[in-house]
Amino acid sequence: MTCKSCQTMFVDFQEKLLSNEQNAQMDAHLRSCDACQQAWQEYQYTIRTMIRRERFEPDESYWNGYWDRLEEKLPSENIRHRSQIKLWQVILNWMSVIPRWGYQLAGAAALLIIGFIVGLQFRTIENTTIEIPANPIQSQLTVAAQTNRYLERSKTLLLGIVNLDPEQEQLALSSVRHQRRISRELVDEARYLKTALNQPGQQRLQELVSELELILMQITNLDAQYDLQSVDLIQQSIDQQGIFLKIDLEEMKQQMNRDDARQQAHPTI
Amino acid sequence: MSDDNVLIHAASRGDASAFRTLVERYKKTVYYIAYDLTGQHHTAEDLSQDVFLKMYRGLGTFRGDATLRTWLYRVTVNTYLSQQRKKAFTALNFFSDHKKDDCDLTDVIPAEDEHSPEKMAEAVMMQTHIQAALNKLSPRERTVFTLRHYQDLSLKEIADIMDVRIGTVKSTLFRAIQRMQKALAFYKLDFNA
Repeated sequence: MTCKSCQTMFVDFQEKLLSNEQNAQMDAHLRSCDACQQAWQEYQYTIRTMIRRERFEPDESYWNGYWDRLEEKLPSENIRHRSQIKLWQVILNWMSVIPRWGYQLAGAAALLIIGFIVGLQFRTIENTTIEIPANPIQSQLTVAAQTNRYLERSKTLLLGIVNLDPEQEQLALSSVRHQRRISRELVDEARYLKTALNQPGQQRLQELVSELELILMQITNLDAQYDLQSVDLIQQSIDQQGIFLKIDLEEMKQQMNRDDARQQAHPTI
Repeated sequence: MSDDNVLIHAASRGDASAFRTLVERYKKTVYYIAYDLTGQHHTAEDLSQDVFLKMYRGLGTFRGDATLRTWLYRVTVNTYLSQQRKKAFTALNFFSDHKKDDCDLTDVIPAEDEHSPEKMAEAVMMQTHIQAALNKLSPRERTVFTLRHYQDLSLKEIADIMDVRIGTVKSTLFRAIQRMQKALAFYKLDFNA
């Protein structure tokens, strides 16, 4: 046995944790090595000295007042209120017994579910994309009808935004939620219409659809909480860009086109 | 279910008298661990009361895997180590370790020695040196030494309380004793006198 290995075994030797064989080796080394013998005596001396420490013993009055002093520090609410927070304690207890792999499994499952939901959202958007009919004439008729419907829905939506009453916050909040959903649909529709409105004479209509798309995106991005300042900005945009006038003009133009078409189809009327 | 567990169950359901019974039952145990760790009466009082406040808040989380005594040891040690970590970040550490806290060392000397000024002085000197040696230890070394030699816990119990391997406890204890050995060497002649 070396001196180093002997001294690193002092704790085990002191605690009587060594095997008989190891004990015999230690005894033999300590008998033959003065340096280790001295180190061992100093080790024991240190412990013997340190355990001579006297403890301060508080008197009985200290112990009698212990609870009163502690009670002053206890939370102000009555201990009986603890039963009200028992549910989270139960949940914490339950969580603490779940092994680590349980959390990993739950995390993986959560990721899968999130991925599935996100996938569904993309699928919904794809489904709402309007396909362009193969026949060009039919296509233009369809685009015209879709544009009319788009302008009509946008106008109704913007009227709702312009007439939001900030005094009735609860009502305004529920309106904004509904308007955000409609706006999202109209933004998707605008993306298609901007590419479909590619005929000569449809440029102004295309610009209007683009302007509307920007405003609709602002509505879509409104906070879930009723955000008076953002609504005010949208109202100003609608007003400054003269959106209602442009929609009205476009609707009049569409109506005239329809009248002309009807006239040509039935000249006697 | 042990008597302690019945009281814990009752206390967690809002029974204030059950909580008080637990405090009365364990106040000395917790105070003396705290005193052995800190070496100062008022600090020990604050630490022990912090432990009972934690017990009060965590009654619902006590699962009964360990005895309440072991659980209180663990909370006391963790609270002490956590406070020491916080103290380490303050410049006050030096002063708080060296200032005379609240209980004069003469308070801990047995009463029969009061009549002999020489013995009294000798005993005070020894206690001063012992305290100085303890103050040389890091909080973890002091905790291991205290639990083993002042609280008389086994190395296995200390490992469980501190949530470390038994080998770590042994090496920490060895280091602590070596450090105190150096601190006491200077005063060795005084002790032998």
